[in-house]
Amino acid sequence: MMNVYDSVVRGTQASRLILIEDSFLAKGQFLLHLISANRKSHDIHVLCYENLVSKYQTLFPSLSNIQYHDCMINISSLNLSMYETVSCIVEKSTRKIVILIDSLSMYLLLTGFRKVYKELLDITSSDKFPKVVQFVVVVHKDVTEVNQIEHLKNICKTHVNVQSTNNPLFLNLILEHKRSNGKCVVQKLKGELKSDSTFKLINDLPPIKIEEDKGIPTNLASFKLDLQDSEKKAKDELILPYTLVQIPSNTGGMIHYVPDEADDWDEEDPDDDLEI
Amino acid sequence: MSLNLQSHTISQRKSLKLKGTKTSVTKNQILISTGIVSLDAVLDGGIPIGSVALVEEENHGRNAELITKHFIAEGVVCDHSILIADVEKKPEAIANDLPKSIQEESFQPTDIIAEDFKIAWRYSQNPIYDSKPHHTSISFGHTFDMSAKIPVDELKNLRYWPDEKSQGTSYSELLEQINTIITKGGFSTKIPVEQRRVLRITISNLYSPIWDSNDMNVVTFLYKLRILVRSSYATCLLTCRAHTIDDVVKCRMEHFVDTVLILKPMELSSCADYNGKLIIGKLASFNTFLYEPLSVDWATKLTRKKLCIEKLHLPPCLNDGDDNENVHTKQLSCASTTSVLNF
Repeated sequence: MMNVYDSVVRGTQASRLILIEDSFLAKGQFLLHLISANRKSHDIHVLCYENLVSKYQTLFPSLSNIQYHDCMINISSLNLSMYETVSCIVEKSTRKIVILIDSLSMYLLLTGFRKVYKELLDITSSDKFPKVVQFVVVVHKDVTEVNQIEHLKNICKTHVNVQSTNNPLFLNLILEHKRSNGKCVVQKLKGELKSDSTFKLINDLPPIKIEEDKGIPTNLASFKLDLQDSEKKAKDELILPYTLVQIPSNTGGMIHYVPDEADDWDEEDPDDDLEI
Repeated sequence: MSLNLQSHTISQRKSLKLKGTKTSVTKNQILISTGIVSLDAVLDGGIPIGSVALVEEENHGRNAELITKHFIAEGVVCDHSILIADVEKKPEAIANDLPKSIQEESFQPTDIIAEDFKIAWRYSQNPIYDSKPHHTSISFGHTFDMSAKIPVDELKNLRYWPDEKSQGTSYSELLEQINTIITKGGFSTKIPVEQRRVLRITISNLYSPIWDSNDMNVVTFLYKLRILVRSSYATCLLTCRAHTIDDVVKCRMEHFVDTVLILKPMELSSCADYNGKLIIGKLASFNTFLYEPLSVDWATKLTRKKLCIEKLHLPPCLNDGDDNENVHTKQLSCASTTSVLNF
């Protein structure tokens, strides 16, 4: 089975839109950190709607290929839409681009959902921006309405749901990846968030059982269910009484009837009216 | 001459010379094929002309999209006029990805018996269970291969909405466009024309947030669409994402369409052969007050080349996948709890 978590973090699977659904108790920003650290050959652009750029600079790894775009200045006057910001980025860049949006919920507060949805469809379409290989979008389920998140889940390729547990340091992750053949891979994980923003997976879920060969289990019954090859051969050679009946030359019966004097022989076929 | 579309005899249909249609003997309607032979059988022969069908897809499946493509491809093969409407994707992109029609050779009966039964010889005469729906027609509809595409130059009589000129995304604009096509293209039953043709309309992603519903909402749209389609040689196939629509709106939508198909995807592990379940929410029923839903569970099966509908039945389950510790407690019912047999 495919490891969705690995492919999200390392970017091994083509997925144009990754949607991270989180809440204030279980923040999904650590995933952005992990993703940005694993995209060395790409230009990473972070659209900062949530915090000041200086905050992101301390949160994220200091790499030369990361650029931050302060969208909070934009949002107060809103002189550039998300679509315009993305097209500006694409114009200037020469390499393959990964765009992280933190968070779409903030942008949704000031822009109508219909417009945001249209913009998202436009920027993720491969014929408009072929240079952008991936969008990672964070959305807060405690801010954005449920039906809006459902619509967003519909257009994303990979969906990560970050859930809180009783212990604030531990998080549950539910990852869903839609494969191009219409099937969906679901993976559930649990992990501990460390102070250096790494995520240590805890393997307390039952391990996926490896399918053994489809032989009959030996200890299922008190008698023997399986046959050895030699036993099978002996079984095949044994002629059972009824097998003789099955040989075609021996089968098929005949009715011999000798009419006696008292018989009243009917010339007409009594079954004439039957449709046989 | 205004014909009642919902009541037709075979001779009336033949005088119309409509390509790619057949008459439902039991319901006196003209039917067109969906492009999936097994789906036609499930829908009692096909989709009636003058009706609206809604395909509701839940979660992440893509069967609705495939059904739409088959519906369009069948129209291309039968030389029907087609209108493709989609607000999320470019409608031209759908037209460039249509499955190609192939000759069907897999309808030969399977008369090969795998092996001679020696012990269970009585069962050797039993027929192999056929999962195909009953009355699967061979002569009506075509078979398509999804791994091949219809070349773009073979596409004729296709219209797109929204096109280059009209960038609108509101329900009223689409309704206006459909109305223009029906009246000007000679699809209305009220306007006599020399040669009748069938119009197939597909509308994808109904109730998507892109739709502008300020001047007309989706329910009014469906009602007006139904009135429009009833008096024309047109059939509509709509698709929507069921989980994004709230229940009240969904109920109303289902009320105003004639056929409702609900597609539920299945978990990968639960049933390896099938990729989803098909539920008949509603079957087009004209000329009667009775409503008779089907009771069989249908499943969708998707291979690389073909999408088909089969009766849902579970495969034999040999290994339950229990842990080894459970095996001791879960013995055969004929075995005693102690390991010694006592008859």
